[in-house]
Amino acid sequence: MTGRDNEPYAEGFVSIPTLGKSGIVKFLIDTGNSTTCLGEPDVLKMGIDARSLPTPGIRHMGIGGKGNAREIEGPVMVCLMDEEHRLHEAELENISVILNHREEEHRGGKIRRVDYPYPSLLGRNYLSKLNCTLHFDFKNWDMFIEI
Amino acid sequence: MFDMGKSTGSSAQGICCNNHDEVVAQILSASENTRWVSEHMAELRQKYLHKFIAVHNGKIVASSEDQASFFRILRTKESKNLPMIAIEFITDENERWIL
Repeated sequence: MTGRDNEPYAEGFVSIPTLGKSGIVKFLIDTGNSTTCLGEPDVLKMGIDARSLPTPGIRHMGIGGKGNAREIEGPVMVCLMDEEHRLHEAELENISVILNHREEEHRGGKIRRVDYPYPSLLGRNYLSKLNCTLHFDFKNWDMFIEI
Repeated sequence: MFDMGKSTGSSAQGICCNNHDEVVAQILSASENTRWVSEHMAELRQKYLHKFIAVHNGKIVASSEDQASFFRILRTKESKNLPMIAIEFITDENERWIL
């Protein structure tokens, strides 16, 4: 793992045929997360207005409490690339979008809105669909996925 | 960054693979941009703290505190390169993700 702050990131490709949108997404590999989610900036980058999407029927809970989520109905195709440049695609029934955490900061008599975006998260539904095996080497900050 | 090991199974043959070469080129370019952000994070924190930045080919191509303005700038200036551009919100060193 040589990403920022030793976080395991991987670029992937997401395609949403129902919306005619697709794009490259930087995923944080998150084995603690049951479902793959997109962060608001990655959705905006694809040209989708995240806040106009429908609210999902299920709650999205995290360490900080209930997440402010939206949902994109699938099928949604998520691809990662291996070292030989082959693409590994999983079809997901839908994908959640986690909206930015918004705070108001009071500085010098002014109120400023600050957006704290969440990263896109590659969750266990992708990893299990492709029968992945994860290898961690924390001594050398190295990690890879075997499919 | 993170490596995908050698595949022991077959590659998927879906929508992503229909545009295989284009997708691979975009992922490789995006990875380079992400790597650049990681390598320059200390400098970026000094100059762009709590701002969105967009990076392509070793250059900051857009920055803004406001997400909506940021994406307006990007769509106007960099629509062609948008898929490959690394987008990062620069956080303080003392801010941690607990997901």
